[in-house]
Amino acid sequence: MTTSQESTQIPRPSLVSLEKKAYWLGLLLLASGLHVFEAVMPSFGPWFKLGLANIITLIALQSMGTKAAASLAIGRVVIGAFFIGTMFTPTFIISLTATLASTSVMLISWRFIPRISLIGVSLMGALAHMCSQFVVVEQLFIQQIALYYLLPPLLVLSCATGWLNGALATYITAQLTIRSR
Amino acid sequence: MVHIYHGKSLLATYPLHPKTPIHFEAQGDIGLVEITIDSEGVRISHSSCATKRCVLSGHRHRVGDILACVPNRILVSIQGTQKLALDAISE
Repeated sequence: MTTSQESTQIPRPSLVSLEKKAYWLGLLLLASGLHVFEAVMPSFGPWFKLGLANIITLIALQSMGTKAAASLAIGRVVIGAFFIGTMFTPTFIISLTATLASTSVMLISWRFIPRISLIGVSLMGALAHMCSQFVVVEQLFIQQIALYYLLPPLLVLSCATGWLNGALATYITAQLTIRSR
Repeated sequence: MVHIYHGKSLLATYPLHPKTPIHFEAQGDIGLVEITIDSEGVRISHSSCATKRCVLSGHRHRVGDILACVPNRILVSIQGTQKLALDAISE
């Protein structure tokens, strides 16, 4: 008798908050999937990835706010590392620090630059990711200034991919708001 | 000249276009990295790392080009006084 009474008194989360959590989890799984897909797909160079998983971060930023986007970005790097098998290796350290840096730059620019579009946020994130990646590799692993010779051409490439990801995220969020009406 | 570094220390220096191919085995943090310098340029032919991104980088032959194996902390850098191809833009 008492147990049934107690069980009815457990506070249930509201349907709205549950729906929000489910949406966030769905986005997290999508982002992790894209992260793993990118790791195994052939790329243009060993220092370079398209950053498709960042599209999901941008969508979360647009539709759920900064907190959800930040936890999503960190979550997908950790979950992705389990699947690729790079947990606690140099690859993981570079990936996590660069993601932390680029996500904070993206959130700050989204919050403080008036009327910035998703493309602008994505460009800022791509450039911050590339720069922080080089700083981490130079400081922790290679320790030679010659490494920075690679940076300028890669910054140009990351401008292109940053724009592409921003445009894709804008298109996807526009489609999502049309469908959800 | 091809300079091979492990972290901050210089391991070896070789000419970029040797008459006979040079194989150099560099001791990295987690194992050996085999660097080959031949008529096509310099490349990392074998590495003990997991991702093999250094091997996938292929050949490098221009001044200013670098090859790196991050888990082993090995850097191969081509240095010289010869003019870079891209410098013409800034002139």
